[in-house]
Amino acid sequence: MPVNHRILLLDDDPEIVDTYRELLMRLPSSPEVRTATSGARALARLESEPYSLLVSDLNMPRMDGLQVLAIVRRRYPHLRIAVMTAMAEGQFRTRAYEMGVDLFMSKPSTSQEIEQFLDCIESLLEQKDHGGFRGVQTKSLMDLIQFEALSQNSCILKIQRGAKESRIWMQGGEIVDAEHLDMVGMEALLEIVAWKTGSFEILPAEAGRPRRILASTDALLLDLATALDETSSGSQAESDSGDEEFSQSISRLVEPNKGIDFILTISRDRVPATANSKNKASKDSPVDNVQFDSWGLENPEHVAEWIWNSMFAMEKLGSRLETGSLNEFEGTGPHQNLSLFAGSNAFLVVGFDRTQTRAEWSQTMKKIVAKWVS
Amino acid sequence: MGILDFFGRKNASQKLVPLPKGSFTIDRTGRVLTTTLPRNFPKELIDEIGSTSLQVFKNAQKAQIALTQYTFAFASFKITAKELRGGAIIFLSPKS
Repeated sequence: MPVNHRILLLDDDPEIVDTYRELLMRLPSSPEVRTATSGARALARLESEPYSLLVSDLNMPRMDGLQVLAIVRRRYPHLRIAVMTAMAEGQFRTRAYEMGVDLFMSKPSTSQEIEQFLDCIESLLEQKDHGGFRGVQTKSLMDLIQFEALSQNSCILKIQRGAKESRIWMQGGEIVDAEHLDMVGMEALLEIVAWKTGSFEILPAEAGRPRRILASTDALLLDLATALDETSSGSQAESDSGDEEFSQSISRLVEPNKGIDFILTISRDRVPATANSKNKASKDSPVDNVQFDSWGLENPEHVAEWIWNSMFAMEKLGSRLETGSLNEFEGTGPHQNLSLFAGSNAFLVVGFDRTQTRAEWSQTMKKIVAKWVS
Repeated sequence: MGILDFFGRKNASQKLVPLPKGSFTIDRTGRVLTTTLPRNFPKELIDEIGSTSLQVFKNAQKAQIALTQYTFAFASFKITAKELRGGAIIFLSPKS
């Protein structure tokens, strides 16, 4: 039996709203189309009746599209969201996708693009849920945590699978604790995120919950994703909590027999040249020195200086181009390959010898990163 | 065609610099030799990407790291540079 879909169209320009309304009403699924010309009006409409899809502009006065999306995604996790905007910049695309929108596209300007747009909308309406967590269609629990983290929410995620019930406490976007049966902290969190299906509920934050999980959520998410990958392939990931990326023994990161030439960690913070640091690159850095820790390098101070300068030059460039954060660097050469992971406080650089294939060193890098952030 | 003008109306009022897709080559001094980047992409940005990319190779050499190619991966953009007789060919690709 065909389902009658209802679409909410949000744009501050009434003429655009009317035009799109007519176009959307001609879709094969014959959806009902409601319109709103402000974020507040859209939220009111969403409260008044159920919708299958929200099509929203980003550039609006007062409450902008991203603000609306953040609220809508939180309140209506079932709702599919398409962003259609003239602001086709990468940073908006990235931010919108990070908020969990299903489709991001530029406003169509040719008849062909209009046709594509309508096809995409029809396809979104036809999509059925493919498992995942009820409440956020086709999203994993990791996605859900990530969304709450990005929104810097304070809440309790109550997750249920059959008779099992677990909770994850979040404070200002950080995961502070988890509880599953008689497990707490990181152990419980690892158990919970391994669930493939279930349902969840967002409960109000609980003041005074002791913090058992100390790692930052970004680091934690990466750590959990890697641990999950390793668990699924039969190996057991080491996973314990820690709170500093930089101040840890580097030798524990070494994976034996994996062709590792060197490992280098470099703090993002420079220290004054006069400070007594265990390791600092003194040449060519008259004001501030790069702090680093290394294993297997003969000239770590030069490599650390090079990496630090290159990363910050590229981050500056990225900021001008509005490309979003700089996450990784990979380099290849006649003697070795390099892989860099950019943490929030420090960079991790690993050199691999040329006997390793790209797939091999990429896999090893993931393991090292997981150890490093844990 | 009223409808086409209509859709394009907001675009005209905004000064957007979309992330470019394409490549360009630079010589050892950072001078741009050839490019497949869109014409409307600002030249000063091409120069800045070129000089920053070239500097990465030069400083790697100083640090005794032999590098022939590298990629910087941003959240929504990727810069890949390949060493080319002291200069470089640089590929820019937005992620979507």
